[in-house]
Amino acid sequence: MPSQRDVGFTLTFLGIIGAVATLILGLYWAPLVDPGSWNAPEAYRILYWHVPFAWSSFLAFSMLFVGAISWYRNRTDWGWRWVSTGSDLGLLFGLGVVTSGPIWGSAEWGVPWDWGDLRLNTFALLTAVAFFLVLSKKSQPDGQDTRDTLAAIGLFGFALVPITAVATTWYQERHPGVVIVNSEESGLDPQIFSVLVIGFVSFLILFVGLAILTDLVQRMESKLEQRLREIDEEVAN
Amino acid sequence: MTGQVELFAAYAVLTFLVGYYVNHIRVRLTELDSRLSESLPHEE
Repeated sequence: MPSQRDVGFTLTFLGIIGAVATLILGLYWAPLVDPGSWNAPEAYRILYWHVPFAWSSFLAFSMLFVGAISWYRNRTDWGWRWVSTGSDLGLLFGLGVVTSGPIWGSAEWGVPWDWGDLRLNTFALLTAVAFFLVLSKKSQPDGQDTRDTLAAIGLFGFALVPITAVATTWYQERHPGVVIVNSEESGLDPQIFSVLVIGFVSFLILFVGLAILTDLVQRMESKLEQRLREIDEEVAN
Repeated sequence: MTGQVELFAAYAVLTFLVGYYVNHIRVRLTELDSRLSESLPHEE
């Protein structure tokens, strides 16, 4: 039976291959958007990774939420590991979204950020929550009190996920609906849709691979901590 | 201006982020492997 490490690295590798394929298809196969409607038509191709990064960050924050609930209900080790993995991956994918988005915005809108747009701001706050959790895990002594506090912050942070997800429908300022050449009236161009689906599947595989490996790191850290405690006790006795 | 520079910059940043994290995990696993094997009790 393959080890957790083998499965994690294999999925990560496959996910990266898929992400590269998505990038190549997005750059060379997907059609250009209408140059008359967009200020920077080439820059729209950023979305082929920007959008899967955003989906992956929502998966990470969902993982954080489920882990926090499990930690509160039963104080499970896996619950805490999910909080930890969810915050690490939430920061990774969230950072990707809040860096690539403004780069696109500066090309398309002429400004990198719009402080009046709900989605941009709630998403930035969500990433800031993940950043806070990652820094706190590293700087605070690990124990039940710390875990309780950080899991609570993770739970409150998760409340931003549905708000962010539906923000462009409820309260659209800047963040776009997509206008595509040759599209049906309300739909995406089929080629663009296909590349996005390939991107979604690839980043899902990458996410699972990275989650498995991050979980493994945490298991090994706990094991090492346990061993060091045992050695300390032996020396003390 | 079509946004090609921004396109390149965005993909460079995203590639760096994924590469950094994968490498971080790889290095951490190697380090933990070595520390765990060092902490195994030695037979005398």
